[in-house]
Amino acid sequence: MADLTPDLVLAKTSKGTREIAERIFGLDLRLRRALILVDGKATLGELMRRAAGIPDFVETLGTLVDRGFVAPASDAASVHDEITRPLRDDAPHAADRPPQAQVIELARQLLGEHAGRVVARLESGGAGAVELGMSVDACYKLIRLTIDEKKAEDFLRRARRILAAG
Amino acid sequence: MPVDVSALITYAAIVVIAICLFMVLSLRKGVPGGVVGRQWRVLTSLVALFTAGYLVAPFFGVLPVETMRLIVSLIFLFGAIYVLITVRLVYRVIKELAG
Repeated sequence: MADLTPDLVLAKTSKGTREIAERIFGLDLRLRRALILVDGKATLGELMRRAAGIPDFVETLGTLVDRGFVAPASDAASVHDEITRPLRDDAPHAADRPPQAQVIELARQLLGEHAGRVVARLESGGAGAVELGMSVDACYKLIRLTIDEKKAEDFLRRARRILAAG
Repeated sequence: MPVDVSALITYAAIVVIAICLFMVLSLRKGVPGGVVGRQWRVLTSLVALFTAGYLVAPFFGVLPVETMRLIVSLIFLFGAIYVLITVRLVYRVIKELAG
């Protein structure tokens, strides 16, 4: 892990940029807020002042560095390595897996501890294109009614993308 | 020995509302958010309020008449709000499922 000194400048890796845009790795709110603050310009000391409301901010940044979302901006080559390696490690051949498995993974990432019923519905609904489409619609309603309306919209949009690609 | 019917009904009401309180609190984990989850928090608060009100009911005899009337009218008001929220919730669920 990088030595997080106050004058260190951190930047998002492409994995971090992708997470901001697509939420594919399902970071919790604390990690996501810290990631948003990292801009490739501010020093760690400046970030700590901006992040007064985020508890354990330095530890949170350390987690982001460890997981490849953030890297020291001064080392461009290393940043590039951090960019590509974690993506391959965390999402191995995602497109090669069947759509049903991808949608289940999506539900787990998006809903965390609340994914149980949604995953059970997806698993019992069948793996065919039509059945999976119906399961996705049913899960969208389930998430919207009982978990979170925004996450439901996010789930539907990304699940449909998986279905379209599959 | 004469049977105090109104007291029996009151005690039965307390038992039923206690069961309701237990159920809303138990089910709350299953609906952390969304359309139902949001309304569920309000319903939980109302059931807790009713429970408190019902528990006071056996002591109505020792309360001043004005206080008793105020409690009863508040229970009526919040009861009506509870029914309104429940009806709206059922309506929203049906609409979501049909949509």
